[in-house]
Amino acid sequence: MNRNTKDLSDTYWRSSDIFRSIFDEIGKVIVGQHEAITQMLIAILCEGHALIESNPGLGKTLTVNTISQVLDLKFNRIQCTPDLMPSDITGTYVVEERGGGKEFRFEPGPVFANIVLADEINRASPKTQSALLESMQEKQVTVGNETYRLDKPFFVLATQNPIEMEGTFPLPEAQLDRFLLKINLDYPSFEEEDEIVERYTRNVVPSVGRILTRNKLLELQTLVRDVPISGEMKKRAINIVIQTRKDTEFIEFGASPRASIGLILAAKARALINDRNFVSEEDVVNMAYPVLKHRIILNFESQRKGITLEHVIDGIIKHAKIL
Amino acid sequence: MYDDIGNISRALHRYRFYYKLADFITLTLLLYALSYYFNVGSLFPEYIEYYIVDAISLDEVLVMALSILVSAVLVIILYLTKPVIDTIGVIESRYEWMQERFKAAYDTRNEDNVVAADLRNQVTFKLKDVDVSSFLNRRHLLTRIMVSFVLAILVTGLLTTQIHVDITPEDITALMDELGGKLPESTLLSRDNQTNSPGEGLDEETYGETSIASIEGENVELLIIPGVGTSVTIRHAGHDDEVQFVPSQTYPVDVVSSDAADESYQLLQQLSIPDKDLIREYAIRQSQQ
Repeated sequence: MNRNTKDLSDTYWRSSDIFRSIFDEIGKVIVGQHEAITQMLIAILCEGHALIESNPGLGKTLTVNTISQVLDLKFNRIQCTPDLMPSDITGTYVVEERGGGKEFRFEPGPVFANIVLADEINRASPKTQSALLESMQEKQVTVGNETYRLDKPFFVLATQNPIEMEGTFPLPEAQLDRFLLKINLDYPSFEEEDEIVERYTRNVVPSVGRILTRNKLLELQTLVRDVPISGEMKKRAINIVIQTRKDTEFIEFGASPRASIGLILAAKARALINDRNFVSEEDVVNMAYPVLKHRIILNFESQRKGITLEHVIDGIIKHAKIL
Repeated sequence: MYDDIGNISRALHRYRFYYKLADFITLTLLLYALSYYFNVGSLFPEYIEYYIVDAISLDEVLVMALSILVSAVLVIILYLTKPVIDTIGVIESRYEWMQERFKAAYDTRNEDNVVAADLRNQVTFKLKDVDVSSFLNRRHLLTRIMVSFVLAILVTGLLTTQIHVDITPEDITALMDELGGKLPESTLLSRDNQTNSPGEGLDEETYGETSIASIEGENVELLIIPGVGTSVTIRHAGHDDEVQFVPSQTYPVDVVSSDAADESYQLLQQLSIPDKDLIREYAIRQSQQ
């Protein structure tokens, strides 16, 4: 074995306990939303980013903040508004007096964190969106002539409000493709909401402890890429993505090869979280929805008929099975 | 892992060879039994006089060789259509735990990391529990053996008793001609199990159950064979019309005898009415063939 095998082996053997502890700890603060939390962890493990679409008040910020605390990561939040400037995100040079003289010092912006929550990203101007999305892709920030590398791990969770579209700048398709997953947060059930009310109407606010160190998280990210996948399953994943480009009955634009990479990586991460040392068909099928949802654009006819993305992806998964 | 897969793969190929052999033996015996019974050896009359050993003539050897050849070709075709043995797939289908794991472990056999190594170790360990003999389809094999046994007894019986049908290609042609000639008559004259003895069934009117036929087309030629009647009733929905029969130009009703047959015609005229009818019926049958 050509890596620091001992550390990775140790992390691998403990991975099942680690994930169980993470979910238990997050569960102390967040009620329900298990699938959404799993998908956020998958995005982090794949070194990807996630786009959350949910109505207000469903605990997006709380969830991300809790995850960052449990994973011992630095968390920053950016509230996007139309007047937000790129330098408000990336940082800027400030003049500082030192030893009687004045010099420029770089003041890092909120993007210099491990987990960044870009709230209502579609309210920011396209210029600011581009600055953020560039740093997401390159994992570095260039200000003036200097390039600053962002700390690892780096994970951006951007949110969009699906009900208020006025005064927004919807993300272009090319930029949506940079998000590994699109996560939907649903309203809690009666029992879950009852539990939420019970927890947050007391004097003691639930809190969480640190479960993982930053280095362990980086090791888990390495392990995810090592999860074995059979050739057959790889073909299945690629066929699903290719089918989005072939299906002209419902789809205007299909997913790019970046989706194939994302789907296989996400399936690997899901397998590891579920204590499996191989990628199962269940992983590929499950991850196809969050990976493809924001990468497919339905044609006018489908939208007119009220066909949903889930319905189209269902059909694609079934069709890709028999290819 | 590779040794185990190799062993299982060899066993699976061996089992397939057993199935092929069993199918081949069964098919050869069946073909030989049929060939012997239907006297296929008569196709090689020129070899009957040649003997290889005391009691075996060359035509019998040829029949046996033909049976072997045909069954070999059939078995080859049968097994060519079957998929190539996928050892991993076969094991995965039998052992639920192996599903997806085995393929993933095998496809990543060259990867050098802790997760792939762990999966390989698990699969290798579980492979020890794989019972190779469980892949042998005993029912398939046993059925073939039993059928072969029965056929072997049958062939021995046929050879001992020398029972076979002395049928020649000419007999088969004649039989087919006969069958082909009877069919129209049976539909026209022998409805409802009414039998025709010589002289019967040649009344002026066609008899039998009324049946409704639907005929479509622009120019439909209605032909009544001479001697079976003079008219045909066409029923349209709601009313009956009797249409007089108009003789066809192609098949004139009148009997035109040749000069050469004139003498025979004179003889025919002297025959009694039943005999005339019998001859007429024969002529009708011949005209229908």
